[in-house]
Amino acid sequence: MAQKVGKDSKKYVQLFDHINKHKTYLERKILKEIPQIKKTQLSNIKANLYKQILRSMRDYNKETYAEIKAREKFDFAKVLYAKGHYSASLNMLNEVKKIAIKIQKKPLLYLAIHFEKQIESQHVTGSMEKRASQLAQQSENIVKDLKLTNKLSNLALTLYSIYLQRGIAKSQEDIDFLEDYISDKAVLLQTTDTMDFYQRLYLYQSYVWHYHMLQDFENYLIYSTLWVELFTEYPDMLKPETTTYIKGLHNILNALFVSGKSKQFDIALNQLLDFQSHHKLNLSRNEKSQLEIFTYTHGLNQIFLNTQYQAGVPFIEQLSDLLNDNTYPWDLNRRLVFYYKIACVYYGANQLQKCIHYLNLITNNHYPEFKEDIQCFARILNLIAHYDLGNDLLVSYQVRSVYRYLSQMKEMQGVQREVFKFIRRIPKILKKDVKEEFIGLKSRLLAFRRDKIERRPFIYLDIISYLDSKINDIPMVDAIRLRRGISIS
Amino acid sequence: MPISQSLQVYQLVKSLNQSEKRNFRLHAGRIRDSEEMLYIKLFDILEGQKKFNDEEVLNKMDGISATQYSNVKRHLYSQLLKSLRHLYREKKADIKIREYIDMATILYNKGLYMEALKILDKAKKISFRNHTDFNSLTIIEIEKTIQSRHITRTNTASIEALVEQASNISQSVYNRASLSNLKVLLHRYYIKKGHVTTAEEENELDDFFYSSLNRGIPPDEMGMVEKVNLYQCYVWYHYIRGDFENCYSYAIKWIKLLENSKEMMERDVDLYMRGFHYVLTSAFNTRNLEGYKIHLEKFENFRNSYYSSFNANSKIFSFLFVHTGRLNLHFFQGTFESGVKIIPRTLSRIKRYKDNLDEHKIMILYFKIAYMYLGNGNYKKSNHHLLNIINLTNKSLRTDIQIYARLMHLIVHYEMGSWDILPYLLKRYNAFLSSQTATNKMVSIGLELFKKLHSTPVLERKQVMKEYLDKFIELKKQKYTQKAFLYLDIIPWLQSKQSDKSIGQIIKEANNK
Repeated sequence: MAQKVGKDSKKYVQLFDHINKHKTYLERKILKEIPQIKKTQLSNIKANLYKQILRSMRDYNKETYAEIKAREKFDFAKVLYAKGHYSASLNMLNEVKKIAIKIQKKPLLYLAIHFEKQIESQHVTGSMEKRASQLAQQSENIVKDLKLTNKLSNLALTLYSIYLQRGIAKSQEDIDFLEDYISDKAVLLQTTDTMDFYQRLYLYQSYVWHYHMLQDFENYLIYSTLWVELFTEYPDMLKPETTTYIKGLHNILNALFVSGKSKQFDIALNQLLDFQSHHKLNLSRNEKSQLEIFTYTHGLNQIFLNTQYQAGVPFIEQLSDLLNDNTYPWDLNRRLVFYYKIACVYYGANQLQKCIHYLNLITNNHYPEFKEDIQCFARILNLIAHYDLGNDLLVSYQVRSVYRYLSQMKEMQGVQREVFKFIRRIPKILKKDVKEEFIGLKSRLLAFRRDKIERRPFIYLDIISYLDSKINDIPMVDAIRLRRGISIS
Repeated sequence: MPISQSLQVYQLVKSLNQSEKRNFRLHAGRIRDSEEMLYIKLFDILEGQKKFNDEEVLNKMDGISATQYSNVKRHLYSQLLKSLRHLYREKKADIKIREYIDMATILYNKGLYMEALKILDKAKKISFRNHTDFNSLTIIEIEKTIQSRHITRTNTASIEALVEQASNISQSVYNRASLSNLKVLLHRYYIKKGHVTTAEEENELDDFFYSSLNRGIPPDEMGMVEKVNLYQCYVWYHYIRGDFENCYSYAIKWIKLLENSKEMMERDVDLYMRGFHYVLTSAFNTRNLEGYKIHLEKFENFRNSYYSSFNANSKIFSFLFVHTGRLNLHFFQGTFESGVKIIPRTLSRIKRYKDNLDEHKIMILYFKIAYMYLGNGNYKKSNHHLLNIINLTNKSLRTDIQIYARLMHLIVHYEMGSWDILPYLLKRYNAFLSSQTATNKMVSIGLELFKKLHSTPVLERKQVMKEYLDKFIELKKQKYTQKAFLYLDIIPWLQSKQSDKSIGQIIKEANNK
């Protein structure tokens, strides 16, 4: 590429070298150091450089992404056809079809067949008689398949969008809504033997989102498992759909985590880590990024499940390095959830200052688009941490902050309502009565713990165990372990 | 690479025009690798060859091993295609769209999601404008993936829009695929059976056609692309039925629709020219001389003003359709004398495009050329071109034309007075005819005529011909047998024998009536 002739093209190579050498991008500096580039040209040269890089990467990555290779061959078929080389074009299309079948890309397969149809019908090659009905049959099947695939993919995406909008079902109303929605789609959701990879994938995903929202952990686990097992049936799909596979494993882990099955969780996490160590070298940045998100998410969950906060500190230090370096393109949402979980681990490990540091990353700003419940719990945990530090002045500031946030929340769950009520009364509570008050709050919160919908907040912030620890003057970790021990027996 | 693939490289090199060659050299200049010198050398050698000669190439590539040679060939082939693809990007929207899709895939895999979405959005706009639904579907699938995996904001409006778009496109893809399937099946029907020849066949065709159409959406809800497809189906349907009046009016609708959207017409000039081809064919078959002349002229004008922008394929199509159109105009008007003057040009085009034309198309052209020479009394030349058809090894290709060619061959031999060969030919052609499943009354009566002529004294032949002339006139009036005369009208020839006028004169007189 660098050898391309012409003046303008040399300039984009110069620009590339400059950007490559420097850590920061300063237009002033570029114009000074490369006098050949005029200010008015810069944006054009930039755009050109961007395109050239993408083009060269496209060529470079051809062998890695079967789809790109197949599309190149399809273009070749078009070019050959335009030049009047019909049989060479048909040969090329055959290669496209082979790849498309291997990676289950039906739209690509259809394109190839459609074009083949066009060539065969415009240039009678003698084979038309047999080929015509074959091609028509094939393309009809694919189009039917695609119609179903599209419906299922729409369903999966819509359910996911419902999840983004409404989150986990929090009321009977939510549950009814979801069940009505899915029963309307009953016909679509029937599995048949003829379903292909993508149809089954979207079907399982739909169920995964559905049961996840309903907090039906058993079915959530079943469909996540089906999702992952699909790759055993279609081993060729592991490469083109790596991120989908990883996301499937993530959902299995999530289902096991929320239902508290720590043994199975450990096994599944090892599966994810095994995958990581086997494939790390061949993964794209995106795939690595996804893999890191889930290994850290579930590494954290493992700490919570096994209450090994102290032992987990080195692990979260690695994670905070990764977050600080900005190695991966993780969006704000993702980062905030990590901050919260890191804070929870530090709290459990009794490193309150560090805990507060991470909570401040969340609470010092206003994020209207970000999940309310995490923002709310971050403020509650911040209050608790300051209380534990005995910093009375800051506690009263935190009380006001939590109060303000809770009063602005659109919808509060039972746990949040009780905490809200409790906080309102804090200024009136005398120090000697604190224990008494904690006992009262605990008994009110315990009622929620038994409720499927209301128990979710306890997964990240076990307030009951916290109250136990204050009531009995023991560390929180012990309180959690104690409580779990009781619940096990 | 086996020899046949060497030929493939050679043909590709030979099909490049000047600017494409220049672009290839520029492209090659950019890539520096060990085989570079070799593949450019191979390119130069092939470019210099007038006729492909693998041995000579190998000699000039001095000392290269067989494996290396085949690697270099493969390398050259793919580099040629790459440079062409690069060059066509600006001309062919769908190549550009696929480039954008690839770029988005790369960006996505680098974790640059917003950048990927931006490029996809550009691609989608082009794809919508060009009605390339399958590309749109692919783009939307990737957008769905990115939206669902990486964009975790709570604003879901874009997801809903995507779902909506996906449903619409999926529906339109379905419609287009059904129509294009119908088209291909009609085409197959025609190739297999030709025009319908019995009422039974016509009923069968009607059932098939209307039941397929009814499954689709109503025409008033169709987009442009679907409508063109629909008109094409109707054209084929009426064409097979031999209803050329209706065929004509749907072909007119087809070209009008494209004329209303210049963008679409320019994007698919082949489709537009194909429309003209059917307008001309059906005008010819319905003896609509005025309609024929108007559209041929319009077609010629279009070709003249767009020819420089045609790709090789469009050039080939335009040659086929326009030359056929010109030949038919001479048949139409009985102007064989001026007709034979355009034949050298047609023959030189056939020679130029012989690698790109299939046997079927060449055969039809030879048939017309033979008929032109016959009409003008150049029997030897006519004979020469007929032999090209009769000696074809593929006997199952358009057997109707092959049969007509044989009948014309008898006429030519009769005119040349080659009496001794006639019994032999008659025997062979009778055998050929009886080996066909489809019966053809016009031809069987034609063969009968020559058999009779052969055993009739010279002076009584005129009378025999008169007898058969009446038979043929009767046959031409009947619904399912009249189509045979569209290809080879034996009547003007017989009439010319009755009146000592030329075929051209007979036709001109008939036109003036």
